[in-house]
Amino acid sequence: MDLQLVILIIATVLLMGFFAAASPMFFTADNLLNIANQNASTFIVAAAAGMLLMAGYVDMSVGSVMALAGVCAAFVSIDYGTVAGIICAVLVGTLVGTLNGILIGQIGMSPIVVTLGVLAAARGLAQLLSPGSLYGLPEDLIGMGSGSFLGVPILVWIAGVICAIFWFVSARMPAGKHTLAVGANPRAAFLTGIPVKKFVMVLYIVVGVSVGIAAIMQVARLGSAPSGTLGLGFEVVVLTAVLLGGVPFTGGRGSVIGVLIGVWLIAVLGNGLTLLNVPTEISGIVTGVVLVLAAASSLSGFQRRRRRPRRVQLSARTAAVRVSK
Amino acid sequence: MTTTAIAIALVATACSPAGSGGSASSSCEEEYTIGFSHPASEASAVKVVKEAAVAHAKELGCVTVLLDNTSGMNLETQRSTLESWVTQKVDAIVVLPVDPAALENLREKAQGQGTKWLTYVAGNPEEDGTVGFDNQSAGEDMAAYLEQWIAEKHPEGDISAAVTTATPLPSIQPRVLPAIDLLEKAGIDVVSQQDCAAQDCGLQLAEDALRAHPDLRVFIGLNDDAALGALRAFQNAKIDLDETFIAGFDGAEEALVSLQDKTGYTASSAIPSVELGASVVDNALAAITGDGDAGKQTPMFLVTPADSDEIAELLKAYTTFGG
Repeated sequence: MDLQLVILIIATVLLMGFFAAASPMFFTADNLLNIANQNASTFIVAAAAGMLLMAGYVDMSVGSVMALAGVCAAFVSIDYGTVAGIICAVLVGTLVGTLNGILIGQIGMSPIVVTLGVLAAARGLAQLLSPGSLYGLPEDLIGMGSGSFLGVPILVWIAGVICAIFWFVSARMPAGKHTLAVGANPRAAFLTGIPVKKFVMVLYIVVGVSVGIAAIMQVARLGSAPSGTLGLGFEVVVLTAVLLGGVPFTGGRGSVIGVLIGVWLIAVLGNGLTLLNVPTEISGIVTGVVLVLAAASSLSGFQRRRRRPRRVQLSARTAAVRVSK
Repeated sequence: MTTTAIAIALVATACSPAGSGGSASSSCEEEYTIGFSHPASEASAVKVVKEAAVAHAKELGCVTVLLDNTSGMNLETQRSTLESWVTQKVDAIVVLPVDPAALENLREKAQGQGTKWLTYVAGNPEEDGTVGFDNQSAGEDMAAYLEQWIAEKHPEGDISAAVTTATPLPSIQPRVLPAIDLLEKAGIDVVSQQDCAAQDCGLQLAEDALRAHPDLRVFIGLNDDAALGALRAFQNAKIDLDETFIAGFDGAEEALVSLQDKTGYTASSAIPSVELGASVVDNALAAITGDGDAGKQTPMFLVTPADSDEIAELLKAYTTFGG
């Protein structure tokens, strides 16, 4: 197992151990399910965004796209029912993901600039559509946000299934290796037959779809769609979790499991501090310190990255010698 | 939630409506131009106030209100807009500054050329006037209502409570401080006191607090959004809402509808948007002409499910101005 992942797991376990000792409520099935439920949408988007970053690309628009998809879904679900609302959310996410994918993957525009642009535009559009909060959603949609099946919240089931798919695709399917290959060296990936441009576009669409799903989940949980605050700052949470989970900003490494643990660590930290009612100022300091300590796990990755170019140089030299012979 | 989110939601709050209409010269003999800068244009309550200000100016017939599009508490955008207004030599500027210190030299320049400078909610000793509402009295009203509720429902103090705050914005804290003091005096533990001014964090905080403290029955949000999130958590936990006190500030549309429909919300300290919008214009005119009160505040008032007429009146602002 990747050393970085091991360190992250140890950090998470230690943190959980601390909170369990500090609050008898923390380490109960009810509270752990509560944490999973509260962060179900983050798990889904982080898994998708993690794969995107493994390919060396970033999506900073997820928060506002969540607002846009959520507002559209709320509008549609009020008039046409829950299923139509869900389809609408996924459709909006897909459309925005496709737009990002075309501009970045096909045309080659800067991922950060494009997605920051979409971040601003999507929030504006969401607020144009609904200046206030949309409420009065169908009962079955709200039921999806608050209900449970076999004692496990429905949102956790949804997140579990989708994250399992992401894990399977990234770890067991060629697409996972292609993602890492594109992130490590897009030109080499292209030369090995991977259609890099299309592949990147598909990754953006996948992120868009996941945001659409997350949006309807969040709207169902809240029972309303506040266009001004829905998903606000979500992109930072997702990016933090992805980076914490061991995916470098340059791509080429990482795993969905690592990303999911990154989400869990942040979620546990938030929950534990709330249970202990730690004052906001102290909470900020503690959060920062824990994240920095957890991020120290990337040190092993740094060391490996330093060695890698030498190996590449050696193999290049070897190849050159072979050719000259 | 992030600080940005808190700031945005609070400012939304800050821009909600309130009070008793204008005072100053409603009979102006000259044409005046007033700039109104609020750095959270994205907030629905802000939109209502802005629209109300524009509508009131139209009514007067001699005032043009300029609005800026600053959103997300962006200081750079706000400053650029204000600079252009100063260059334009507008008659008055009403501003909720993202950072008052960063606008000081601009204020001096504006006042030096005769432009009146009024602050919105935030105070400034050098200002020519102010527009806003009284968070302190709103907080005291809320605490008084809570006191009644405790005396009636839980005189033994056998429950716990949660309150949301906004530590980055101390001027808004008086909303909740009287309630916190009261709870302490009543022997009720405040088991959660965290920054939050949006539905998602309100929901999350209430869920966490309910799990750790199943006797949680009081949740006071810094604004209605936070309290509405908490209401969802109480509903999900299947707690009898007749036995809870879930309240916030601003008179957000969704909160008012919950009060009207009696679906669990206990009270909101509402700010009448139309009056607040009108006071943006009236207070500025008072500063310009020297006639009237340039510091007139718009009073917040507590509405409960029993106040159906007041709720209907407050909701009318959202219908009229599309908040």
